[in-house]
Amino acid sequence: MNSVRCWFLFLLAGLILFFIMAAHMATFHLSHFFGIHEPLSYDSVMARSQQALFLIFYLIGLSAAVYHGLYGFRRILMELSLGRSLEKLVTAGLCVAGSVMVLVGMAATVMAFLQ
Amino acid sequence: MKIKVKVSRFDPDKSPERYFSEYELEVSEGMTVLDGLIWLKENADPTISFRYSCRMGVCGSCAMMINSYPHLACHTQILEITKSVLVLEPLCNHANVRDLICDFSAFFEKHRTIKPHLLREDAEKLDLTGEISQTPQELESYLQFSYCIKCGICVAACPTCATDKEYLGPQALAQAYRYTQDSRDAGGDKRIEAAAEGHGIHHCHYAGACSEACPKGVDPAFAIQLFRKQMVLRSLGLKETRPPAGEMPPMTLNPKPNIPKPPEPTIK
Repeated sequence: MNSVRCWFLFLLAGLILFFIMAAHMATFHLSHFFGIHEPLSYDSVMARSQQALFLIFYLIGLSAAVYHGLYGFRRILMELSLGRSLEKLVTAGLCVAGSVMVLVGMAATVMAFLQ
Repeated sequence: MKIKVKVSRFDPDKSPERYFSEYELEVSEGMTVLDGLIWLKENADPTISFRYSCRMGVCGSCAMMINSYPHLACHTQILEITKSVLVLEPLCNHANVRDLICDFSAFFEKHRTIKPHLLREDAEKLDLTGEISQTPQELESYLQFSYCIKCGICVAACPTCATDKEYLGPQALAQAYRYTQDSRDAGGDKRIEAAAEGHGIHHCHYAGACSEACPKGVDPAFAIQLFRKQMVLRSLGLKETRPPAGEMPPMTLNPKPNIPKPPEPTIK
């Protein structure tokens, strides 16, 4: 049943990313409608990062993107029929890589929020 | 009308290479590919090897690539496919052993993995001559998927099977759903475990090529989607596992007085 739950989480992460990417695109490309003309300037990025709503938005988005991306990548690798032991190694390696990515991303997001 | 028939030839005892033999065939209205092949074997080249049995789309033996698409040879009329060149090859994604013949052992091994039979804890106590009750609605929920004739066409059409040799394939997965959905069965969890682990159901790419190619209208892609839904609901505890349907009580008949009794059974 674990593999079923992992796959369901993959779908859920995809659904979350759909909304988060829409919000992300709106923030960066439609922000001039809200009076922000340089959404990528240091001041704009820091102003956004210090809002609690954006903190939650980035943390969820980061976790969903890393999980969805690495699960999909793992599925592509599995289709190469690597053999059971190598498959386990790939899964473990991707779990470690994903955890590191999420931790580094979360640390950066939280530090920007606390500044 | 005369057409050219190109038949893929392969004999591992003579050469590891595949090659094509070309023949001319007089085609008439309604002539199937299998009819054409039988004519060629009887009149042009007796060494062409192919499998067939029922000649009416029931046994699934004569599946092959016909002009690069998997079909049943007995179910495909030549003039519906071509009026010039007919190319016959063995099924894709199956091991070719001779000319148009494929080895189905891996296919049936995968089929066996998903336990394609009713699983019940009380199986030994059941009266084998009795009946298990099932409503027409319960039958309808899996009936379409029980029409599978195991011809291997869905596997030949599947792009995932082409890249992942360990993938269970649409046939086995559709049958896993068919038996899990059967109200007489109680082995859903075991089947889900077999279908979800390793190179199982999650490797399906939603291409739908299996359903498009299936000559019996089984729609394995739909079964895979329904099975996935059932798996997720079960894993989240949102679908209760039901007990298997029980045995019907023996029918009590009141025979009319003048009808003689049947003889005693000869085998006790």
